[in-house]
Amino acid sequence: MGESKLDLLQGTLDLMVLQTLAAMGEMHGYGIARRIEEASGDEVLLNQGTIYASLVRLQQRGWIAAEWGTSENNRKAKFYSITKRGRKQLAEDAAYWERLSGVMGRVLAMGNEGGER
Amino acid sequence: MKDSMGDSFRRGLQRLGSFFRKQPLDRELDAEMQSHLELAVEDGVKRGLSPEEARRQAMVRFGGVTQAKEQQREARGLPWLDILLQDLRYALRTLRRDPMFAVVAVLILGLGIGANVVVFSVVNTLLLRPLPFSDPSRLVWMEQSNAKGLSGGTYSVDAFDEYRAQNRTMEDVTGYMPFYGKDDDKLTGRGVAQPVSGVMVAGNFFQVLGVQPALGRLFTEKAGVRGAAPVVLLDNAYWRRQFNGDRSIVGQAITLNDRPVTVVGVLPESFDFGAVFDPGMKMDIFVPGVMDDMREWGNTMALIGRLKPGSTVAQAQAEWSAIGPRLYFRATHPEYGTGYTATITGLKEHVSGRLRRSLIVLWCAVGMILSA
Repeated sequence: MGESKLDLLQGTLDLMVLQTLAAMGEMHGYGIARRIEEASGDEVLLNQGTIYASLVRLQQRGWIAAEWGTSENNRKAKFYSITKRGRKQLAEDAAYWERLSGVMGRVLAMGNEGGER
Repeated sequence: MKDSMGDSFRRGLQRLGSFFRKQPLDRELDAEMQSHLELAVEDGVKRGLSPEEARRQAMVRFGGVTQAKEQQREARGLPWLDILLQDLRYALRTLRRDPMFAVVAVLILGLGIGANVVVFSVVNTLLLRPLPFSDPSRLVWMEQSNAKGLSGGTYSVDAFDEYRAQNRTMEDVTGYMPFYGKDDDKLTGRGVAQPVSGVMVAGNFFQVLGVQPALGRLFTEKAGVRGAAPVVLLDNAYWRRQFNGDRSIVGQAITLNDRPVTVVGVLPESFDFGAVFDPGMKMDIFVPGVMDDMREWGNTMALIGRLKPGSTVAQAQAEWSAIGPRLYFRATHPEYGTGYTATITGLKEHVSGRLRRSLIVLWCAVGMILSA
């Protein structure tokens, strides 16, 4: 359904959203997008709009919950929070990413010593 | 992200639900994105930008609004179903705009469906449906090997009687006289003389097939004895057509070939002689063949047997090779000779076998009209 091509990218964004909600508590879509941009040191150039596809996916899996509410400056916004199942999923996925990035780091670190013949 | 089974299932249900709530969900998404942009503009103004500049930057950071909405819809619903519906709408518009095309398309579809229905009903009757008899798998067809035409395949009444008495594999054997013609008989006494198609059968014909009458009774063996009171059984469709389904016809006499004959019963709707023994033939009436007359006529009987439970076609075939060669053509004239051959097949295979290949080809052909 058009998801597979962007699997890595989407998976990455979904994980970032889960982590943001786990760390910051209840947030609206704009807040989540801003927080991810800040945390990544603006290295990720995120089209903020893409976050809504990620949010609906996570919501449909039951990993986050959503509710309309009012922001601190009195604007209506939809607020998202992580669920218990979402926290479990986050723990699994974070461990997976750490293992993967560890492996990638080690694989990419070799080769410089061997040199070319 | 790897879903567990439960999460995938849950998401599938949600997507299906979303498909049916497109408008409220779209409205909610609009509102959410609206509030996102307003929050972003507010942020920008707080950082000291002019409202216009803040709005411009907010739009840039957001990316395409339409694109983002489309992405969200794809993630939430069933995009392939949406596309299917779009295609359908497009097809309908095209048909409306080009009536000629619509007419041709409808005609081709109509013809295709019609042809398929007709061929399927024939295939169903001849190939798929079991014969409309009780326990049809035990019924077998017997005909002389290398049969040429009807006479070559049939047996004399003496051979029929002898085989019936001697065999141990059949519960019973019966037969009919296949040398009939369409509309050979004549019904009179009810206004204009009506042509009627009839066939002579052995007295036990319907009992061996396992056909129960819809009205009245079947023939008895005595009905085939010379001098017995003449009786007739009516085909169900013929009874409805010719006698308007009159139930009181049973027990009455009708005039067949200028002789009064008593109607003893009406056969059930499910029994269609033609469909089984003579595709294309509509049989109207059944009369008991007078065996002692037919005895003098040579080979006149097409034979059908009902195997005993547990007996097989192969056993019957093997048994035939012991009995067949000793069967007299005419018992009172041994000088006419002895010896009948038989190829025994399941009745169902016999019925469908002749037409099987051509029917399957025809079936495929009409299937192509629709799938093309």
